[in-house]
Order: sequence, then C-alpha cells, then structure tokens
Amino acid sequence: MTGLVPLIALGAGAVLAMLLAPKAPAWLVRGVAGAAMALAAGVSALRLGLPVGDGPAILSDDGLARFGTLVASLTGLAALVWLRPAPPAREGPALMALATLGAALLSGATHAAPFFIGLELVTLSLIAMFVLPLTRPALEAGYKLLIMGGAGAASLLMGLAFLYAASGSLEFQGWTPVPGLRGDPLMAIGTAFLLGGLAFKFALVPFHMWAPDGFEGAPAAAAAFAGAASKAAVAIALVRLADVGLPEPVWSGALMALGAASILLGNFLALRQSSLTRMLGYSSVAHSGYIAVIVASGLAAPEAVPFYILAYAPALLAALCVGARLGPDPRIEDLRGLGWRSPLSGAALTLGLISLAGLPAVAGFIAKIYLFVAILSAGDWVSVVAAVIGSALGFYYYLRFVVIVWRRLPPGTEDTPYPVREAPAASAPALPLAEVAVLVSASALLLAAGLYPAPFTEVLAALVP
Amino acid sequence: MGLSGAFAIWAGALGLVAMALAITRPNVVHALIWVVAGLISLAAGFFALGAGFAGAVQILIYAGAIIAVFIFVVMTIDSGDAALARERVRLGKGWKLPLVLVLAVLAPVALSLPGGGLDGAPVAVPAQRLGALLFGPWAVAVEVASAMLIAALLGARHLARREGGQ
Repeated sequence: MTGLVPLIALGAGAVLAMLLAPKAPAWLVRGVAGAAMALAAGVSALRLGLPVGDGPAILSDDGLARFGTLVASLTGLAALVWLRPAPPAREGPALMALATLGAALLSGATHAAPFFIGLELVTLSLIAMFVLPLTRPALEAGYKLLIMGGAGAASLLMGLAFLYAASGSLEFQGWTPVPGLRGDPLMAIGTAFLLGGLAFKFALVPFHMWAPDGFEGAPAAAAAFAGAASKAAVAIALVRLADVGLPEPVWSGALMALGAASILLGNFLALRQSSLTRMLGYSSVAHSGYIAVIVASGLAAPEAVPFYILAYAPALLAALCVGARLGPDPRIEDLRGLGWRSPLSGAALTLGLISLAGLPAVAGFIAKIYLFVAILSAGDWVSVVAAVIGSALGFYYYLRFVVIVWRRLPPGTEDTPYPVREAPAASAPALPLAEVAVLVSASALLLAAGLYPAPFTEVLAALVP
Repeated sequence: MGLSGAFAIWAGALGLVAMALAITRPNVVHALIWVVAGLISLAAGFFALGAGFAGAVQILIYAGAIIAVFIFVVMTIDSGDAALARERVRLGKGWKLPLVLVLAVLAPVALSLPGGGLDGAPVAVPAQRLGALLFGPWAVAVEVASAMLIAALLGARHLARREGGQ
C-alpha cells in the first residue's frame, strides 16, 4: 500500500493549504503544498525501479504510475515556484496540489472510475488556476477550457458507457475484445467517443483551441502544468489503453489521424506567432500529436513515450519560466539580447527551445529518434510525411526565437535586465534563487539526457512491464 | 420477457416521447417540465429492471435537484413572447443534421444489442452492494472525487469574490 503514500500526501497537502490560505502568510501556504509535492516526488522516485506493488484494485502501482506521479509532482513543484498571481489569489498552491493529485491518480488508473475522476480533477483545478489573475485573457482561457473540457468529459463518459455496455467491465483489461462475441459495433463506437474525449484533454486537432489561449492568457504556472504534467498523465493513460487492444482500425487509425493532423496544424499555426507563449501553446498541440502518433504506431519501444515526456516537460518548463519573468504575454522583440543580459535565462531558454525543435546534444533529439523509429517501423506513410514536415517547420520557428535571444541590443539600452513594454511589479531585476534552481535543473536534465541517454532509457524501459 | 420487462419498455417509450416534446417545445419552462417527466419515466424503467438505487438517484438528484435548479434559473429570466417567437423560428430550421447524427450513432447501438436485452427476469441489485463497492475497492476514487469538489469550490469562490467587490 506504499503506492498510496503520494496520493495521500498530495490530498492532505491540498486540504491543509486550502485551510491555511485565508489567514497564514503566503510562504507557509506555498511551503505546505510544496512539501506535499516534494514528498510525493521523493517516494515515487525512490520506488521507481521496484516491482509492481499491490494496492486498491482500481489503481496500478507500477513503474508507469510512479513515473507519472514523479513528473506531475516535480512539475507542480516547479510551477509553484513562479506561481505569482494577483494578491487575493491565495488558492493557487492548494489548486496546484489538487491538480497534481489528479495527474498522479490518472497515471495509475486501470479502471474507468479513477481514470475519469483523475482527468476531471486535473481539468477543474486547471480551470480555477487559469482564472486566478481575473484578467480578460485569463477569463477567456478559463472559459474556453471549461466549455471544451465539459464537451470532452461528455464524450469520454459516453465512450465509457458504450464500452461498459458492450463488455460488462469497467476495468481496462476487461475491454480486450473476445472474438466472435456480439457487441463489436458498440465497442467501436465507445472507442471513438473515448478517443474524442481524450483528444479534448490532450489538445489534439480539432479539439485544440483551448491550448494556445490558455498558454497566452493564463498564469505561466497553470500553463506549464497543463502542458507538461497533465499531458504526461494523459499520455500514460494512452499507453495503458494501447495495451488493451481496443477495436481496430478505430483505435490506431483514429489516433494516427488525430496525431498527424495535430502535427501539421500545430506547427503551421506556430510558424508566424510573435508571442512566445502562444507559440509554445501551438507547439504543445504539435507535441501532443507526436506522442499520439508514437502510441498509434504500436509502441515497439516501451520507453518511447516516457522518454518523450522526459524531453518535453523540462524544455517547456524552462521556456515558460523564462517567459513568465518577462511579464504577461512576452513578444519576440522582448527577447532581443536576453542572453547577454541574463545568461542563465538565455541559456535555459535556448536549451529548452532547441530540445523542443529536436536538435542534437539535447534530450529532444533522442525523443525525435524514438518518434521516427516508431512511425517508420509501423510503416504509415501519412504520419511519416506529417512528422517530417512538422519537424522542418519546427526548426524554423523555434530557431527564430533562439537567434533573437543572442542578438545584441542597440547601444544605450543595455541598462535594464528585462526591458518589458510595461514593467510588471513582480519582475525583479535579479532571478530569485528558486527560479535559478528550476532553470538549472531543467537545463541539466535536458543536457544529460541528450548527451548520455543510456542510463535514462534503461530506467524508463524497465518501467513498462 | 416478464411483466417487469414490459413495464420497463413502456416506461422507456414514455420517456422517449417526453424527451422529444422537451426538445420541440418553444416555451423553455414547458420543455424543462417535459425533461422532468422523461427522467421520471427513466427512473420507472430502472425500478422495473431491479436497479432501485439508480432509480432513486434519478428522481432525487436529476429530476429533484438539477432540473429544479434549472427551472428556477429560467423562471428568473424574463422570457416573453419575443423569446417564444425566436424559439419557434429556430426550431423550424436546422433540426435535420442533428437528427441524422443521432440516428447514425444510435442505429448500430440498437442493432447490436443482444436479443433485445431483456432475457429472463431482471435481477434486483440492492443498494448495499453498491455501498460495499464504494467503501471497498473504490474508496480511493470516492476520496479523490471529494477533492474534485474542493477544486470546483475554490474556483467558484475565487470567481464570485470579485463580484462581491472584495
């Protein structure tokens, strides 16, 4: 039952942070939520390589669940560092702990009930975190996530109901089709609805509209969690569902089509963005597409999806952390010369962006190799073409942002370290220690996994039974 | 098919008629009352098939709580003759595509149900078995469902506080 310790810690931390929020000082509230996440991350990291434990029948305590909990807790912890909403929003840390709890539950779910509750807990907490600043763009982003998340939840429930009607089981493993049994059309419709619902949560085209608005309007911490932790948890749920053998060609075909469309459209729409966060929003749609295509290709390499998460999450965190420093909705011109004025920010942003682009020496390159090995071995040429075009477009728009970071400013304007158009009160000249820690550890992880990936791939390959 | 099966089918047919009327009534309050009627028919079907707890939930929570709140909200909004006329125009057009979509989803479902679905006498499922499930193997899911309510509560409170001018 040790597998439940992270869930209990996160739940208790969330409740405690909520109760403390009205009266206690802000650092204490953040500390309580942060301690719960650190405990959850530590327990999952220590148990990463242990054999599958026993627990409640509806949750699995295996390597994938521990990896998902670890990613969610570390992302939550990093996001907590720069969760700087408007003064009355003291609910932030409690909501972040709740979202982490949802992602941890989702990555362990082998049953429809924790699967749905985990997804909805993540979505509801994200909606609340999106609207924390109470600005127009934030409210719009939260409203879009509310409506689209509601539609996704409805589709998901419909799919689960059909799968239950056809198979009589709420366990994932009970959905493995029995040849010759009636009810196959029901299974196929159920799978289609299930995929539709997951596509909303995973921001796959054509259900992606909330992602760019969320990245642009919501607080960077909430966007980072939506992009990294919740995406990792849904990806792990997809890996588990791929193991079930849901009816073909609905499962692989639809997932492949959604993935290829997301790669193409996400990259095309990111191409001309001049806002860093909006570009990252569209790029997150494209990266969801890459993961969906890997899952649809049959997962020949079991560590492919965990490694993709390992490469994607720190890169996104680093880029969003630097972006949050520059004020709300940083534009490409705000980045000019950043590398010379704040070398750490510039270097972390550069590493994050070239990892997202998939250039060598960083983890994103290895992730791209896994992607191409997976789709080439599956031999689906549509997705190969989509991935090639998407990667080529990615080089262009990520490097556009990298190049401007290292351009020198015109003389006479070097005084202010962060020349933002309207300097927000929160952006102090020097980086706080906690953000330095986030940037350094994200950069170190990207470089380590990119230069010497063998230990990482060994650990991750052992996660999947 | 026994007497209870026949009753369940009758209740289901009544529910279908009520829900069709709910969609086609231009007056919103009338439509909501028909939704209540449809939900009660559904609950009658559940009772006939032995799922007494599901039937009770259907009446108490869906018909009793959720739709009642909807009716109160709608009644506080003034919907005069103009709204009626607008709804009539909207109902006149644009109903064909949704109907085709619904049939496209429902037809394979209806065709694939094994043997009409009502073979033999229905087996009653007592509420104790559901309770044993909720407090036994599903306990984690129930606990986290309460966390979901906390998240919704925090979000709603945060949004409402601004309107209070605080």
